[in-house]
Amino acid sequence: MWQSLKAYSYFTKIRIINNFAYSFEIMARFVSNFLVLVITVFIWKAAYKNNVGIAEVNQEQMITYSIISILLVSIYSVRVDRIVNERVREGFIAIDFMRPINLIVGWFFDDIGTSIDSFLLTLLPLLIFSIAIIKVPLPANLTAFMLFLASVFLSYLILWIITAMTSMIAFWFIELGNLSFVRSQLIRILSGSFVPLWFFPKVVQKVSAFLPFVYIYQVPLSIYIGKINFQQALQSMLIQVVWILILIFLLSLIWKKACRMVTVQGG
Amino acid sequence: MFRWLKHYISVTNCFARLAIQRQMEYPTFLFGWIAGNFLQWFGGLWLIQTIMSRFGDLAGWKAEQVIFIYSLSVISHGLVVIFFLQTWVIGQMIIVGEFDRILLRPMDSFFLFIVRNINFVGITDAIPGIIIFFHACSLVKFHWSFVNIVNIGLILIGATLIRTALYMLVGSISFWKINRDALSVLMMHFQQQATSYPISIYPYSLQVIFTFLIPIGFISFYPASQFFGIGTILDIPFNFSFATLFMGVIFFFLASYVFTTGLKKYESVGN
Amino acid sequence: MIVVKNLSKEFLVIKKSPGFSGALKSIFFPDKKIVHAIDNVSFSINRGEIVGYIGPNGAGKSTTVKILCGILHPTSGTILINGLDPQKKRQEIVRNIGTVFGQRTQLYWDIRLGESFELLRRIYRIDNETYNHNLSVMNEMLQINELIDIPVRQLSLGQRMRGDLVAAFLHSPKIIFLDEPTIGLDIQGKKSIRKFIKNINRLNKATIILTTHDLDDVEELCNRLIIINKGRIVEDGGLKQIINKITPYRLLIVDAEKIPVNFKTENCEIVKSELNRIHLKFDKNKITASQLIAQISLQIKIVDLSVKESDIEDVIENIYGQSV
Ligand SMILES: Nc1ncnc2c1ncn2[C@@H]1O[C@H](COP(=O)(O)OP(=O)(O)OP(=O)(O)O)[C@@H](O)[C@H]1O
Ligand SMILES: [Mg+2]
Repeated sequence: MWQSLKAYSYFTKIRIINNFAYSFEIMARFVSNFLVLVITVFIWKAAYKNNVGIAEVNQEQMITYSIISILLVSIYSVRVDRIVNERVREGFIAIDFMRPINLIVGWFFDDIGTSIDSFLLTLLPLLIFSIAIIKVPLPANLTAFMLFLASVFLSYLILWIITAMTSMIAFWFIELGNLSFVRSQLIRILSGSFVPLWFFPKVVQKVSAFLPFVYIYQVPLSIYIGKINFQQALQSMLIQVVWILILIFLLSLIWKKACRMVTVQGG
Repeated sequence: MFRWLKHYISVTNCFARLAIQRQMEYPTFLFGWIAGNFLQWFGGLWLIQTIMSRFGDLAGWKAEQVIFIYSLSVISHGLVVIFFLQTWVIGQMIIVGEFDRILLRPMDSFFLFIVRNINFVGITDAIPGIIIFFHACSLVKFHWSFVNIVNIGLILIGATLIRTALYMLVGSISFWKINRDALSVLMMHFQQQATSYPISIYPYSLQVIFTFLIPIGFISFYPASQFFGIGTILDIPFNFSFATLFMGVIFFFLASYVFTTGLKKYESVGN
Repeated sequence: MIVVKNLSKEFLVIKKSPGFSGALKSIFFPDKKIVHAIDNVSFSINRGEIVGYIGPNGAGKSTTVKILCGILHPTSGTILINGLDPQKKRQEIVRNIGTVFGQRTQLYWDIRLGESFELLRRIYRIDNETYNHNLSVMNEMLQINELIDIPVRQLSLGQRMRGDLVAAFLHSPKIIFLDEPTIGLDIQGKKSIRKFIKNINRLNKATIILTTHDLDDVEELCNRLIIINKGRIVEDGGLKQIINKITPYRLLIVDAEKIPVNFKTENCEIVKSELNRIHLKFDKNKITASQLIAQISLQIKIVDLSVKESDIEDVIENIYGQSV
C-alpha cells in the first residue's frame, strides 16, 4: 500500500516539476482568475446597489461566495480530459496500458500535482490580492470552515470523476473530444459557480438537486458562507458521498469497456 | 496593382475553400461545437436573465438592455472565431514552426497569417449571438431604420477588430517569451465577462481603462448606450458606431505592427 | 549562385537544472548560455550543383538552411543568393526556392493532396502551362497521380514524401533545399527519391542542397560535400577528394590457411587478426595493393583475398570520432 502510494505520488511530483517549466502560464492563470473575480464582484455590487432586501443572502455573503468560488476554480484544474484525448489521438494509449500501474489512479495523482501548485501559485496570491483589494472572505464560523474543507475534497472528487468519465468518450469517438467543452459549459451554468441556484426558478432548483453539478461548487460554498446550517451541510455531504460512489461505479464500468477496447484493437 | 490584388484575392479564396474542406472532414466535431456553444451562449443569456429578474436593474440598465449588450458581445466574438481564430494560437504556431512556412512564401507574412485559417465552425458561436440579438431587439423595440442597420454593421466590424487586436497583442508576446497561449485563454475569459455587462458597473478608473487602454467598452457598451440614450463617462458628440470602428482600426493597426515586430524578432532568434 | 561569407549564428538558450529546486531556480535565475550554432562559415555554390551538407546531430545544418531561405537572420556574415540578400529581399528570393523539411510536411493534413498543390499554384502564380507540365513530368518519376485524390493523413510516409517533393518543385525553383528528404523511408522509397532528385537536377539545372544522415544519399547524389561539425566547416570538396584526404587507405582482407602468430608486414597496420583471416589497413599512396600482396604471400599461403576502398562512412567516422 505504502509502496504503491509512493509510486503514484511520483506522478504528482513529476507534474509539479513540469508545471514549473510553464511559470508564465501559471502567472497567466492567476491574472485571468483575478480579472474574472474583480468583474464578478462588481457585477454583484451593482446588482445589490438598489436592492437591500434580497432574502437569499446579503451582499457581503455574496461577495465572499464569489471570491471563494474563484479560489476553488483555480485549484480545480482537472486536466485528465486533455491527457486522455491527447494520448488516444496520438496513439500512445496502448503503450500507457502496458505500464504496471492503474492508469486512472496515475492520472488522478497527476492532476493532484497541478492542484498543489495551483494552490501555491494561484490560490494563495489570489487570496492575498482579494484580501488587499476587495475584502477578507471570512467563513461563517469555524465549524462551517471545517465542514467546507471536507466538502471541497468531496466535490473535487465529483468533478474529477465526471471529467474522467466524459473524456473516455475519446476511446470510441476521437472526434467527440470536444464534448468536454459541453461538460464544462454545463458545469459553469448548473454548478452555481457564478450564479448560485437559489436565484433560479424553483423548478430548476428541484431538478438540479438530482444532478451532480451543484455538489461541485454550490454545496461547499453555501457551507462556507453559512447559507446552509450544520445539519443541512451534513446532509449535502452525504449526498456528495453517494454521488461519488455512483460515479465511481459508472467510471469503472466505462473503464473496463475501454480497456477491452484498447487491448483488442491496440488503441 | 490590379494584378497584385487579384493574386491576393485568389489565394484568399483558395485558403477559404481548403478551410471548409478541412472542417468537413470531421462532421461529428460540429455536434460538440453546436452543443457546447449553444449551451454556453444561451446559458449565459439565462444567467443574465436570472440575475436581472431577481435584482431588477444593473447600474441603471434594464434586463433587455443588458441582453442587447450581451448579444453584440456574442456576435462579435463569433466573428472573431470565424475570421481570426489563429490570433489565439500564435504561441502554438511558433512551437510547431508554422511561421517558417509562412516566411517561405513569396507573399506578405501578415496577410498569410490572417487568411490561412478561416474557421467556419465559428458560426456556431455567431448564430446564437444573432438569435439573441433579434430577441433583444424585439425586447427593446429596436428601430430598424437604414441608418441603424448600417450602424450595427459598423459596430460589429469595429468590435471584431478591437477584439482581434487585443488577442494579437497578447499573442505576440509569444514571439518574445515562448508559451502555449495561456494569455489568449485569459483574454477570452476576460473579454467574454467584461463585454457582457455595462462597464458603468466599474469604478471610474476601471471605466477609463476599459475605454482608452483596453477599449472593450466600444465592443458593446458604448454603442448600446447610444441606442438607449443612457449617459456614460464618455460623452462624445459623434456617432458611437464610428467611434467603435475608429478604435477597431487604430488598435488593429497597432496590433499588426506589434505582430510584425514580433515576427522580425522571431526571424532573428528562431523558436 | 549562392555565396556565403563568414556566416555566424548564435542562439541564447536557457539551461534547466533537474528537480524541484532546479525548476524553481530557472524561474527566478534563468541560466542563460550562448550556443554557437554556426561559427564563421563560408562557401559558395554554383548553379546546377548537388551539394551534400552533412554533419552530426546539432551540427548546424538546419540552421544554415533556414538562414539561406531567409527564415532566420544571421548574427553576422553575408549571404548572396543570385546577387540578393535573402534577409532584405525575402519575398523575391523565396519565389525561386523550393524546400522539403523531411521532419515536417508542408501539405495540408486533412484534405486531398491535389488541394495543397492548387494552393501552391496560386501562391506562386504558376501559369497553367507550367503547372501542368511540371506535374506531368513529376508524375512520370514519382507516380503522383495515383495519390492526388487521397487525404494526406492517409498517405504512408514514403507517399507523403513524394507529395512533399512535388510540392517543392511545382514552381520550378532554381534552388532547392532538402533537409533529410529520405528520413524514415525504406530502400525502395529512398531509391526512387534519389532518382527523382538526380533527374530533376539534370532537367531543370536546379541547384540542390541536401542535408542528410543517410550516406548512401550522399554517395549517389552529391558531386560535392560540405561537412560541418559544431557549426564549423570541416571539409569542403568533391567526394573522392575528401575520401582521399581524410581516409587515404584501403583495407585488405586476406584468408590464409594459417596465420603465423608473429606475422608482421611493413607499410601497413593489422586491424584485426583471426585464426585464418587478417584485416590489413594500408595507405594507398605509400604502397599498392599488389606490392602488399606480394609481400604477404612470402610469409603465408593466401587462400582468398579482397580489397575494400574506404568510403564516405569511414570519412564521417573519422571526422565525428575526432570531435567526441
Ligand atoms: N531556435 C533555437 N534556439 C536555440 N538553440 C537552437 C535553436 N535552433 C537550433 N538551436 C541549436 O543550434 C544547434 C544547431 O541546430 P541545427 O538544428 O541546425 O542542427 P542540425 O545540424 O540540423 O541537427 P540534426 O541533424 O539533428 O537535424 C543545436 O545545438 C541546437 O540545439
Ligand atoms: Mg536538422
